Amino acid sequence: MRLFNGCHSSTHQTLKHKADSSDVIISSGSAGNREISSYRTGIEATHTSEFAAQHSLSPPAPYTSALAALYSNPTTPALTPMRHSATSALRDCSAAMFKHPHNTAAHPERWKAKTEATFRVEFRDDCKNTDAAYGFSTYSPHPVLYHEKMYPTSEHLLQALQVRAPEPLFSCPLMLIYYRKQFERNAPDLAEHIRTCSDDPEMAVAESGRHHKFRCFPKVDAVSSVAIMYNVPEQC
Amino acid sequence: MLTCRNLGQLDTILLVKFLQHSDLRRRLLDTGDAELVYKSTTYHPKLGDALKRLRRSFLAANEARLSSEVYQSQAIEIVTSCCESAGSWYNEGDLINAIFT
Repeated sequence: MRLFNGCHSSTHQTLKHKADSSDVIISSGSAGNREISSYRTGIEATHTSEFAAQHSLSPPAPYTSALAALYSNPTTPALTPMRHSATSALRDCSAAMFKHPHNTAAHPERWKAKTEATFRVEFRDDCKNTDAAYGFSTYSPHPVLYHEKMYPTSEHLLQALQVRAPEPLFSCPLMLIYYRKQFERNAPDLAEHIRTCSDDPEMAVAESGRHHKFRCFPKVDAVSSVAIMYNVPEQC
Repeated sequence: MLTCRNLGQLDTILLVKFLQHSDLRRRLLDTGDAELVYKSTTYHPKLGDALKRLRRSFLAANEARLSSEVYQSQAIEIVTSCCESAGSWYNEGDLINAIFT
């Protein structure tokens, strides 16, 4: 059975004679013909060379003229004899470049390290949605449900988890009790405040840091009482 | 409720987040065994390591689940006990839905 689809050139006819009677060849042009013959062996492979000889495949005229102008130039260093010192310097330089540790072709033991370095996902706080690592940062806008409360980002949850009374410098139990009492007095619902203040994770971090200095010392009440005494608008 | 021991704060928030967002979990598992490096202002320098730990525990849980249905509880244990210090708890139903769907 024979099925030829596409153009019928002279090379196509020769291929038809050599092909087996049971072959099915579907091609749509001369490029397809060449591809088929390149995948076969022996006789068919000669058809491409015949094709090239018949149609005289050669680079177009502008390129050939430019190359001729380049190589006919007598000042080209490749054709002029070089001094011995310059030649040796060039050879030494090329040898040094080949031995350079960044040339992984010269150091097969470094091949694995180079391929391992390519399998490396780096991510930041500001990944785009198209990035592979989008959402890996704690600042990504993915709401998180924890203990039946919704946190705008996981950074809010982290800051809320980190809220606790700071421990005194020297572990004195009385000071620890005093710190905890003052913490409960100054920042009773700091975790809730961090959760609800803003959707911006940076704001959550800022609020956590801003209230950190008021956790154990009664500065907030002192400031507000002074403000009440002197009728000053409270700025906090 | 499922008590989850030996879990740090960073691991806790990552586990909660990646359990509740299946697309993020898919992205994390798609990274395969690639190195995860967090390049930022050294605020959470261990975030890349925590993510790699979480990815390993998800993979282990999936393997345990694929091997047999009997090991469901074991898979939950693998997910919830992925690292050190502190303690927290999770809804067991959420965990099962997240791992086994």
